[in-house]
Amino acid sequence: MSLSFLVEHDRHRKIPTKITVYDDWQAAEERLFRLDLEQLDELNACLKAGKPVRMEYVVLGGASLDTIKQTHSRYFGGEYEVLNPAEINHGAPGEREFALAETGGFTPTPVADAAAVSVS
Amino acid sequence: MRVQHPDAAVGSRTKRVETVAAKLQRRPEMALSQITDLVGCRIIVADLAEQRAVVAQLTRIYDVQQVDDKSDSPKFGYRAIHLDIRYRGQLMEIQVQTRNQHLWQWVSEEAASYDIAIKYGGGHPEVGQALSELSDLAYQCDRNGQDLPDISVSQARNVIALAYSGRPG
Repeated sequence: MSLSFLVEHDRHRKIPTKITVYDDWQAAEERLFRLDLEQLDELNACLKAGKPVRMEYVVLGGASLDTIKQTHSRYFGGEYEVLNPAEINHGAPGEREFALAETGGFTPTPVADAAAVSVS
Repeated sequence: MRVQHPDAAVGSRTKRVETVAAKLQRRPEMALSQITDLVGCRIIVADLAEQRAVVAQLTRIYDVQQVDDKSDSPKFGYRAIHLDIRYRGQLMEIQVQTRNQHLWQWVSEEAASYDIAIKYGGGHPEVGQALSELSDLAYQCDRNGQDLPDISVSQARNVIALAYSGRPG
């Protein structure tokens, strides 16, 4: 089975990279769409100035976290944390997170397994 | 493919809004439908021999429209083999890289985080030189069946950090 990984990567490395694991690709893409919309003005300004936007958002697909560590290793070069929306959503991956984000009430909580520990 | 190349890592991504917009800005004559890598897949393999074997296998499996081999002739230091395929009516790009080629890409993208011009051969000349040397070394290591030495990767990353230290984001 393929998982989707929503990556929120600060190119300045001021905050750890956040990787949220979804088993529902569409939920990950919806969240990505929302994040892209939020920084649309900044993105336009950066494009005009010819410089990269600070926060990089992308959805990756792969069999496991270990797989995307190999295929997209640059997101794992610094500190990162892995979140699991299924833990937050009580079995409804993506939906609750999306709804809470709309109200500004979403505060992700790391899952309690080895992969969830911040790594530097 | 999984059976014949059990250690190959396969990951995919949809192209980021930022890179799509930048591409259309660079090439205004291009229509969105002409961008072949809106959906992309990357396969990381151990060495050059496996890279060729995987490409040959993909060519047999998929409707390959174009093969772009940058493993011997890099573009701004970037080495990989790209296949544009048509899958369910949609154009997709598959990148097949060795671990050393991917390691180089990681360092290069780190540099491009400071200055996007690096990606297209511009930017700080010292950084360009360091990336070029690292790319050549990756090629030599691949040919000799070796991994890139950590020290070389660290040196390249130090050059990048020094070149862009104090630079406003």
